[in-house]
Amino acid sequence: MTAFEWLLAPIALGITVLLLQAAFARSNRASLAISVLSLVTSYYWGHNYFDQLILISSVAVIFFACLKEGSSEEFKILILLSTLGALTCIHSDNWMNLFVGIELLTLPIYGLIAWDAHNSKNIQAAIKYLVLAGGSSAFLLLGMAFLYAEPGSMALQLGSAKGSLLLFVGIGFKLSLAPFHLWTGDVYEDAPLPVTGFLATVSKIALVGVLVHVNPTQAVTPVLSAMAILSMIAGSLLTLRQQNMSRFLGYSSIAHMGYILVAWLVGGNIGFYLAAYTVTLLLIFWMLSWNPESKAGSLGLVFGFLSLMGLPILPIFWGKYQILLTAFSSEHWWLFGVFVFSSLIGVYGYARLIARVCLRSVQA
Amino acid sequence: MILLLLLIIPLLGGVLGLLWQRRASSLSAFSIASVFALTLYAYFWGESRTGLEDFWLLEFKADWFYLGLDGLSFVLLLTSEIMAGLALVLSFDKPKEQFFLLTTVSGLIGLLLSIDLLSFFVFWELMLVPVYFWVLLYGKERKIFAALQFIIFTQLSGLILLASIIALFNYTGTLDINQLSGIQLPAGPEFWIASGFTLAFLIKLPAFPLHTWMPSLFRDAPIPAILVGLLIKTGAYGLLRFVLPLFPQSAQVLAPFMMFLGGIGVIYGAVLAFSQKNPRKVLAFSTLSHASLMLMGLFSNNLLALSGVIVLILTHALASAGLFVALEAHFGFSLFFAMALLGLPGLGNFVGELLLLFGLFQQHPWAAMIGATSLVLGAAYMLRLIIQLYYGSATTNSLKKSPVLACTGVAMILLWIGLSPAPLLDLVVPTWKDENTEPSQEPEPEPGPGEELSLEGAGNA
Repeated sequence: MTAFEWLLAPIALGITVLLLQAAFARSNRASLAISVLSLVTSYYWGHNYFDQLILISSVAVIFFACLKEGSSEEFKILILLSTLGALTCIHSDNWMNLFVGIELLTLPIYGLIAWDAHNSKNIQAAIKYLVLAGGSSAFLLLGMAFLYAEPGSMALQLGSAKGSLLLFVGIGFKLSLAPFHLWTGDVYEDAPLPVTGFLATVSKIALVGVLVHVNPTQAVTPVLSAMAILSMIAGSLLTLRQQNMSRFLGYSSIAHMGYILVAWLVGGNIGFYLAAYTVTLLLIFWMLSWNPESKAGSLGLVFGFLSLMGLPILPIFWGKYQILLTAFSSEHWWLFGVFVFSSLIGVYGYARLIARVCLRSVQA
Repeated sequence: MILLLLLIIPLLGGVLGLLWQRRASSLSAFSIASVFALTLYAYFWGESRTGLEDFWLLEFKADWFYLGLDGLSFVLLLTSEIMAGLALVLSFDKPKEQFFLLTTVSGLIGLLLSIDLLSFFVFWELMLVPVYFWVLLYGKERKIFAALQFIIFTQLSGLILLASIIALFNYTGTLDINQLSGIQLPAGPEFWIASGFTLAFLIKLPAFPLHTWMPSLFRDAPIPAILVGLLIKTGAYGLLRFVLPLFPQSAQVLAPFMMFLGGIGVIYGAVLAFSQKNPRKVLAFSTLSHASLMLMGLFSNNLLALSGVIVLILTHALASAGLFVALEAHFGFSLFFAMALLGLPGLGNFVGELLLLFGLFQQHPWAAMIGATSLVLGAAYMLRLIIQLYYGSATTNSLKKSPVLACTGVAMILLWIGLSPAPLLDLVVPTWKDENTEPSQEPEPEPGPGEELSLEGAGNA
């Protein structure tokens, strides 16, 4: 077996065992043990940075779901399936594999969003996501067809300008880059909290992992620069007057994905930023699913938001610093300027949210 | 290592105090006292002088984390520790506020010791976090507004600083001030980078159009937060430490503009201070007026004026802090510190303002004439403040024993600087001379005699 198969095998095995267990002996504890064990085994085989981030986030999401309410076998099966898709995305070396990976990543998420079938908001969010993600998959597929047709090869290269642009419509949707970000607020707010955590981490990491396989070309750079600039500004502006924590995280993710796109365009260090962002988000979702009203919970949230704001010595600052250095030295003035400007706009939103969290915890 | 301890002791004291709140006051007092003692020890008996860079008395370096001590930072460190002591006296029975006090002090010490621009930036940002939470949690009625306004303005300044630092790094490949001072940048980028640094420091100073965050913060912040977080003019320190030595030519180019802003700020601040009802806002606008005077002195390219600025940074911080403590509680001290602030001869502020104006006059006579109005206008608003607070009804002195003791100490220091400023100037000026005669900025023709002359003048007056 190849390294990639070794990586996927434990998860696939875990899914099978969970299915059997769901049929014969339901138990929350056993299913938790099986799913975590399979993810950890897979982590042991993973050599890729993105693999590790994805597997850590998946374990964390399962853990959050258990904190929030005892989650059943099916929930874990869907999470494992989606993780499998995410890993396939990262390791695919041709367009066909990549498409299968992305679909495997996305399909279980529909189910996850609509997890609580009695909650009409969940269903609404799931349908919204289903329709829009379905549309974006169509763009993705059409783009891949163009990319295959012109050079006549399935290899991951942005050979055709038309194809690359269509491809980035699809990827832009999944990464919630402006102007394809409209679903983000609604879905983040209405999905169950652990699922929002999953959407915010695993699904984003997988697509960024795809992004690093290809290099920006002349044809797409101006369009993608515009997308990055729009995302940074739209994301920070949308956070300004946001009261709902999940929706806020969704909007802030638009800006942060813009920063990552900048890193990709200027050839900066994506990995560190992504890891810092993921760790911060996991901290925030942990606190939200655990006990956001308590003293320790508020403290964790405050640290998380300070890190998102880009305060020095917290991890995201160093990611931003590296990206800004590269953007400046490669003379991408617009991207550099908008990056700094959008960080400034974002400060107000974060500071306001921090103020709310703090004052609430003091009054409580 | 000693320098690292200076940072860690207050931080540790703050955290321990938070965990063990019954002993918080004694822990805080102990950590501030030990930091004070350690600073003195480090300056006078610190062993080092290892010859790495013979300019710094003591150094601590770990990659970008680079701390160094010289006369300038020593004097400002001592001042901020005195201010921390005052702030502690005011928050003696509030263990949670002491945590914020000590973390702010720790950040401030780091800021004053940093000689690498990246570590300076890190402390610049870190210092505002405890102040933000302090205001947010323990401020007066419009605290949320004040705190948000504060964090947005300071983050604006921080991001401009960050962008300038990145640009500087891109052109030079280093952020270490020792190496930077030997590098000559091309004229165009140098000007823009210098402007970026200056703008960032102007926001924090604050200077005229960018001062709006300060009055609301002074109105609603807890007084100890104002003492340690705002009265030490970190913006002026940044200009003095980085902009003037690193970009002498650009500083010359910017000077007329800064004189203009400073001139407006001096008069505008004074006029607004005169028309405020809230005594804290009077102090806020008087701070704006004095900070604008400092700004004019900083860009005057004159050694005399610069020593005046340093004296004024110290004495203004001490006198305003004293006034804040005594405000509405003790008539005698209020009057004393108000007199110091309006520049009564024989007290420290007078020395600073006089040196500053002498130096300014040699370079920019018109600017000096506008700056000199601050002495008159200062008298007007300070006397009005005293009348407003104490005239008419009978007041009792409600100050407790420990603030009285602290105020006495601060008053003694002001009197000492006012009567004999030479020891202080000897501490600060030599380091500045060394730093500045090397770059192409031409030194004063004869700094020695001019200095002595002015000192005699100050003593006689």
